[in-house]
Amino acid sequence: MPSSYDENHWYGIGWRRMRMQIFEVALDRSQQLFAELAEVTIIPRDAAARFVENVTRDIAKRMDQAIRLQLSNKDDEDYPSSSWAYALPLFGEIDPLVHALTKDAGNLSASGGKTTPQQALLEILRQFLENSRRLQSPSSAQRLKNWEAIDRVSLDIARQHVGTPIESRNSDEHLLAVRDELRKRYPTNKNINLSLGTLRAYFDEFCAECEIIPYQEQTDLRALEFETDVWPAMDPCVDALKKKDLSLWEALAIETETFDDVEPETRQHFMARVGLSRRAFESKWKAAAAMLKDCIENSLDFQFRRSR
Amino acid sequence: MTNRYNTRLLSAILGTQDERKATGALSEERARQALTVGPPLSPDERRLIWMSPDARDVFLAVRRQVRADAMERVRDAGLGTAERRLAASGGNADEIVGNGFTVTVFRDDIPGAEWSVSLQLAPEYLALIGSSTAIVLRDSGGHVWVSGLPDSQGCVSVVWELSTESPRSRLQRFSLALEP
Repeated sequence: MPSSYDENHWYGIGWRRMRMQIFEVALDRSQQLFAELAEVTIIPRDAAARFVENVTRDIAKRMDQAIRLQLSNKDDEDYPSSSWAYALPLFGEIDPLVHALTKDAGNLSASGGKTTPQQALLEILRQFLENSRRLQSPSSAQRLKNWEAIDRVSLDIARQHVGTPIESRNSDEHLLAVRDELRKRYPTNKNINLSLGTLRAYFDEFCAECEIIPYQEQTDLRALEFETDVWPAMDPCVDALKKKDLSLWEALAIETETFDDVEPETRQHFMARVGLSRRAFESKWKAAAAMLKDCIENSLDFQFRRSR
Repeated sequence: MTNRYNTRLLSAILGTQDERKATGALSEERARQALTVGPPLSPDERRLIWMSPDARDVFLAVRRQVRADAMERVRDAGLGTAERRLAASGGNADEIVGNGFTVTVFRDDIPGAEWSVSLQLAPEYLALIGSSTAIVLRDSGGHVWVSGLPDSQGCVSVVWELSTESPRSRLQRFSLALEP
């Protein structure tokens, strides 16, 4: 069993990987849960408790297997450590999960609503795991206190730098500014005089809305096309958006530097010319991106249905 | 018309996706399996990678790791390079023999597709990268000649897409490298 607070499993990609593994186990058990919740003779709380028990048992089994594998490879220093040993403690206090599942039994047992039973289940699990992750930290009270100080500084900096990259709480520029300001304000407090990596971990843990969008790399998106044999058809979606609200498209085109049919200009120039504040500009391009997202997801759905 | 590969635009769009709409999960183990020994991703898994930011992160992180591991094995084995540049030559085909691969450049008569490039991987190179790993053949000037998954014979063939310069001309200036 792990004895230390291993950031590789609790933060960033390590956390997402582990959460995904847990989701997979839960989905394997989900059909029984959905069926039992739809059965009027079964008490929903019993069905939820049974489901959580099964998932916990499955995780324990995988942890045992992983430990056996590790023991048989103990001489191999490069043998990767298993995340299952970190997953099990997340289910130490299961009452909140059983309660949440029972409360949402309606959505979990019926399809045809706004969300599918799988979506509802994953959302409940996501919230439960986030809370459990925080409780797992042996120094969670101290970390929370540290975060409160970091958060205050971060919000101050965002307010002081409206209209610049430093304002954006997911930018490297913002993190650098926060680190420097923390050193200035609290020069002797080692708890919050942190490296950039540790500071990033705090944002990952406590500020979901600050999460960096990790799809900037062209190679990653091209890799997605290569590995899935699909690329979203963007043009029809962009055309529809232009017809609906050209100004939304212009803001998004400026933000993403898509100058195929929009006159090239800087963000600052565009905002000044159109008379938009930084915040209004961001709202506009984000609204445009969200509208395109729905259209592009439909296009992807169509392509995958066709490829079946 | 937007540029087909306008990744900044697509990144901004994908950045608005809501994880709560995802209906499945992709484990690191399954991603690694699909990228190495197979079986390949199912249509549902491929769809999930596009629809779920979490699944996408996991998949891309595993992919980077798998490729880095394969690259290390290839380098350790002294494979993947073709130091010799091609001297100016005539005829309808040129062959470049690299360490662990051979590239053949053909001159075609097809209008608009004047050159074809065929890449043949040697068995020792294939054995190092596995059957489900894509390769990229790039010249030292940065142009990608061939990319894709080798067929069952370890071969990938493509049409030369660079209209401003022929493969022969580039071979006189650049050397080739084959990466997983």
